Amino acid sequence: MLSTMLSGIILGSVYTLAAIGLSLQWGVLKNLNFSHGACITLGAYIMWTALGANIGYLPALLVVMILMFFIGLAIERVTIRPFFGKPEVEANIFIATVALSSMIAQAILLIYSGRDKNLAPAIAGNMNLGILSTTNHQLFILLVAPIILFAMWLVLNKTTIGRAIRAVSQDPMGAVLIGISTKKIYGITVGVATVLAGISGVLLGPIYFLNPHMGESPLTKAFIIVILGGIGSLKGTIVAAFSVALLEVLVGLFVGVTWGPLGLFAVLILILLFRPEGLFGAKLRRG
Amino acid sequence: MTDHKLTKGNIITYGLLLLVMMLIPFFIEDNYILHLLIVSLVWANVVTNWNLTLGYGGMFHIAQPTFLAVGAYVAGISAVQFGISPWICLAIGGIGTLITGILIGVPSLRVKGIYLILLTFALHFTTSEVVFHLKDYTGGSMGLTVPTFHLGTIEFSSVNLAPYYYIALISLIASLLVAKLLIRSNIGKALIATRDSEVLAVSCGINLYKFKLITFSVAAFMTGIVGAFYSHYIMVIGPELFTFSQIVNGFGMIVVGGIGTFMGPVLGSFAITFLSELFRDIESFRPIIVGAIIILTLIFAPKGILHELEKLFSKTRSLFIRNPNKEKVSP
Repeated sequence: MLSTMLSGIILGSVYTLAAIGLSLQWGVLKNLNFSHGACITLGAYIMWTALGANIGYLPALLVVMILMFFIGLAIERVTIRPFFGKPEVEANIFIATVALSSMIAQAILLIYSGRDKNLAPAIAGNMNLGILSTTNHQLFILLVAPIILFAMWLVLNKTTIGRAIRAVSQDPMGAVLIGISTKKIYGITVGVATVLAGISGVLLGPIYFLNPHMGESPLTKAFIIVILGGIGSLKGTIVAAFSVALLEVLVGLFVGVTWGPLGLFAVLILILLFRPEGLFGAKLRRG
Repeated sequence: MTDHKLTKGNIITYGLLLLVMMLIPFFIEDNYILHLLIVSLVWANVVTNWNLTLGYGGMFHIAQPTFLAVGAYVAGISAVQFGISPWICLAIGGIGTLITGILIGVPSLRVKGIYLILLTFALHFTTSEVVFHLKDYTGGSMGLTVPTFHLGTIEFSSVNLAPYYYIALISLIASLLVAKLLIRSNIGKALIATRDSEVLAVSCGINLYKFKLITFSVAAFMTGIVGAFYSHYIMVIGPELFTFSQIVNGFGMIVVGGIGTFMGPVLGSFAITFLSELFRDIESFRPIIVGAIIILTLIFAPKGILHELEKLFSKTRSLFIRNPNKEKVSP
């Protein structure tokens, strides 16, 4: 039971990272970037390649972060920017990013083959904490996730670029009026979110296996978390991420692993019925 | 968007098209091409219903491929586990999907945009989880072997695909007729008005939710029937019905044909099906090519490739016929 709770908390940390990226894009772009899941996969695979080159764990992570940022910029340029200011923005961006994510998955399949791969953990080995026994990698996640979240909070609240991102998220028109280039902010937002997706892929990799579709399930959960927590709410996202992760492991423990997604789906419907703005969302934005 | 009146010219065009479609099995000997045509017809049916809700109804969702799978599994399970005749299974598949559609539609059509996408996305994953979980009924990842149709002396088999072709054609025509009727009815007018300006439509007293639910359920029902047909045609249904490429391909057909046009998605489904066949030798690149086509079409021809071709056609025509619109201009 206690170890189940621990794995729930660890899952929650990773989900938070994946969901924060999604929530950030959602808040700023007011649109869904569906390729976020494919970016989780991509991050894990780039890490696998980088680790294969024997450059050490942290340099490899740095390589992943830098590459993911530029991939994010490219994603924004190709599948998001062309559709702004035109009719059916929402539908077009969604379809384009869906198409892109299937392209990325297929490209990964072609390059790395579909066989499951093992991604090396940050620190190998197990740790025994009295009644609890856990892998070092899971402890690494517990340590790294709050650091990244705190860094995100610092960037968003204390730097010029972070303030600009929040300004665009709150009022794009007003942001333009005070001289913020929304295009640049959109690009940077998707870039940062893609980096977060990549990191969560790197952290998830050693827990599951790497395969071209490994990002889909975390993506579904990230969506549910963002809805649950309310769009653009950091606190809500964190609480929702841990609730979803705990619900998932508890349902897995008591009812059966395959019923976890069903439970989440039921929760999602209930939330949408009774509180569509999410548990912590400020205001309902219809459409 | 498009003209919904049946003009004389339209009737002649549709009549000729129908005649050609009915005669095709007499001229095509190659079973493989006939198979591709049947698959195109099935997908034309799916995307027609998808487009009815997405293009006309303004409900942006990804439920239609899931409905195809639900129809296929409901019919397949009824036929295999309960020994019901495949003909009756067509109706059962439709009704089962209708129920699924209503169950999903009732809570989720109240919300719009992103929320609806996510709910249907969750539906997609949940359905596939349920199918894998209920192995005893669905065969799980091994798939389910489904019996095919029987009718008098007509031979339904892999060497004689013509009867399947006609069933697929009839069900596509039925879907098109239902869609046309719905679009021309008050429901369709209300939905189009809503799509174009929701505030105005609601202030005119349109009960949006009810109309959306009706359209969504009708589209689910029609898709369920074609899903049931697909299950009895392909005879082995399995996890491939839930792959993500189903959604991507469906989007490809709608986008290439033009969102919110009546015949566009139908032609789009033929275009995408046969185009993917062209790349059969480099099969593993297929999803990449389809994805690239979707993104490029969205950027450069947002009204669909069909629309662009039409424009090109009228442009070249105007090169030969001087000022074709001259007589239309009132003095």
